[in-house]
Amino acid sequence: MSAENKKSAFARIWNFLISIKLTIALLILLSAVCVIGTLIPQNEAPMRYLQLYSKSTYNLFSALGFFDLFHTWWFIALISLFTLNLIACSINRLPRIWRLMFHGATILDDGLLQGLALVKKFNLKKFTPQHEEQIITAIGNYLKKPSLIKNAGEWHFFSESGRYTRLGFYLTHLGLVIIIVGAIAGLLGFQGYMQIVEGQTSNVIQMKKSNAIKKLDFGVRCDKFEVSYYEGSQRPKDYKSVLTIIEDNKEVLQKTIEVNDPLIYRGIFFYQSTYGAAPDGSGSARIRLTQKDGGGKHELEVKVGSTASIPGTPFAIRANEFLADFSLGADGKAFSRSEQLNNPALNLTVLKDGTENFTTWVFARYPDFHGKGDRPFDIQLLNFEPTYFTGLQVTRDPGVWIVWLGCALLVVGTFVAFFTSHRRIWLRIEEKEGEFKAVLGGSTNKNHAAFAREFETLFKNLKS
Amino acid sequence: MISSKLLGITTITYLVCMVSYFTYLFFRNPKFGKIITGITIAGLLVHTAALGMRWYESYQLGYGHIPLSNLYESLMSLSWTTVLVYLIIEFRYRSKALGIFIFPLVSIAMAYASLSPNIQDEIEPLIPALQSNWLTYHVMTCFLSYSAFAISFGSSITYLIKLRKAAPKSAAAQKTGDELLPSMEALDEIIYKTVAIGFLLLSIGIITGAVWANYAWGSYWSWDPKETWSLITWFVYAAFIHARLTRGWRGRKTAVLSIIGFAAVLFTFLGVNFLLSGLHSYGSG
Repeated sequence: MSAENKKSAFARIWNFLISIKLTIALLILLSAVCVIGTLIPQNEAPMRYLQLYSKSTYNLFSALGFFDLFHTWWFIALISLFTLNLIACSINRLPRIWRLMFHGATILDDGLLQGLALVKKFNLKKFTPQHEEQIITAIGNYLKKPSLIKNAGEWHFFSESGRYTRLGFYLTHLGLVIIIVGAIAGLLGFQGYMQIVEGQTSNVIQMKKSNAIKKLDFGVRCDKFEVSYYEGSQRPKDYKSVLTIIEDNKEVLQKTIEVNDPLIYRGIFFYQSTYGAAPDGSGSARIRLTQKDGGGKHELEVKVGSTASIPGTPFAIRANEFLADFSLGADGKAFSRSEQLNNPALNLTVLKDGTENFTTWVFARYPDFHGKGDRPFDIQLLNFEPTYFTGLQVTRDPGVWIVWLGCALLVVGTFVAFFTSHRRIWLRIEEKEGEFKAVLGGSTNKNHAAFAREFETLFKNLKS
Repeated sequence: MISSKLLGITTITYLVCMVSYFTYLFFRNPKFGKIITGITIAGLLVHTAALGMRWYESYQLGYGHIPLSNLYESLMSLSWTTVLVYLIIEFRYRSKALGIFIFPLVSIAMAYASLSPNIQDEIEPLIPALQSNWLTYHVMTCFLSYSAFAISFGSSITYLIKLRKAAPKSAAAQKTGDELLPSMEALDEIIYKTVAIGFLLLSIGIITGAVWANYAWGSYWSWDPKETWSLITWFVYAAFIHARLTRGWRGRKTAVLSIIGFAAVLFTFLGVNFLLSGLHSYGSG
């Protein structure tokens, strides 16, 4: 390939990249892709997709990467092209903007005059140095103190304000590029999940995407977990975990975290994410026993694995096993369907003089279930306070501050680009045969209507 | 509850406004115009009191949260920002024409919120994920942007109607046509200005949402449908702005883009909650 061809190939690519048509096409394309990404649920299990789509549709979508669309190579390629387009447009426009900012005309000549939207011509009878001062003050009050260039029989006043506002959209675009850089930097971080039972310490994180295990070089202890409810309802008001960071066998930091208030240590964020009953089924139950022979009611506290005697009777009660989400398996054996307290159930044995009398399940949600058979007591599970585990989302994102910087630039830039303007005023006064001919010109790049009104006022001021 | 009654009064007032703005279109009595504006301002004041009252009542119930927590409260608050933005535009451009588009939108939204059996109008406690000051910043900036876009949408419809009416007539006939409606140039400017304001507010709304998400969920962006749709809306208006500022699109073309943009706004606000599921799903009840 000759040097000429290379050059023209480069020029063609460049012309492609600086085209605003490309920008608009990319914006439309990105929107369309995003629509697909919201209509098809993302990152679900294959089983779920097979319920939604036929096998062939599933295969097609899967090949196109539609199930994790925002991380496919072609989506990233689109974003990259968008970024290149942005950068190329910015470079391409810079010389013109630079000229407008720093090499704008300070003398109103006839060529410039033709291009101006706002022009007023008037005559002055006299023009003395005193008038000169007055004009400088008048324009100065309006915009900024004008510069004055004197030629033979000509006076050129020029004033401008908001010159740098022409850079507003650069800030916006720079902000966008910085956000994308921040997002890329975020790839160096990680996102995972850790589960800690009350009283225990852990440093094991399960990674979100790969399910790989990562170990922190410090430990996190969950001292306590608490869930509170709105009065008289099952709606959770708050989940709280008291966490302690343990490094080199020393407690270095303690914090109570809740939703919307994470713990931050060495750039790693620990968020309250889930909770549940510890898998070992430990905890403490509050039980009410009603004697069927009319001997009264007893309330007592018993820990799983321990026995409590019923005062004034030969009976005692032993808590054998707790299940957070009671269910019966196909084999007739009881098991917990999940770690959530959806159907708390306690297995109890009642003892009489130390020998087993009967064994039964009691359910917190079904206080009137008492099992079959002739038994001396009705037993209710009033409350069960399990040993909880706290589920923490653990995140490290080194790019997040870069993203915030980009966001700040984007907002400031957009504000400047839309709501501030570069305003310029020229005033030319020529002496011709004892008369002074004045031409006033004005230009703005935004908010023309308001500028026109102010221009009118200035014109009236100058005339008088 | 007092707030519910006040909101009922507000809804009726806005229905009156809707009828009045249409009537005004036919009679064009300046005195009548002033009265309508007065009614609108009164409606907005009652509306403000109602929302304030609801906020206060939530404290009395022991919850204490700004009325932005469910669909009912969202529709009521969004109507409030829309009427507020509308009044600002009415004063700024001295034109009542947009009222005929804004008040049907607002009245329908409020009546639907009050009457639909699917919408809970009781004050409910806030789930832990929403217990944050960011709720106010995030939702209010988003709603103000939606309102600005709604005004832009109304102006675009007006523009297109005027365009159709104006086409076959002579310039003189056009002038005697309807001086009530802003001139084509003024409408074009309103369409652009409100998009510019809405775009800036939407950017801030998305960013405050990202900051909050980072603090509550540990990730500033999750491609959740609501987030993604807000980005789609942002793309559409970004295309509008670039088409206008760099390609010199004006009038009909930008009006159409603004209408497409508003469709995206509506889908972001309502469609996502009704048709798709995701992290923002608490907005639908």
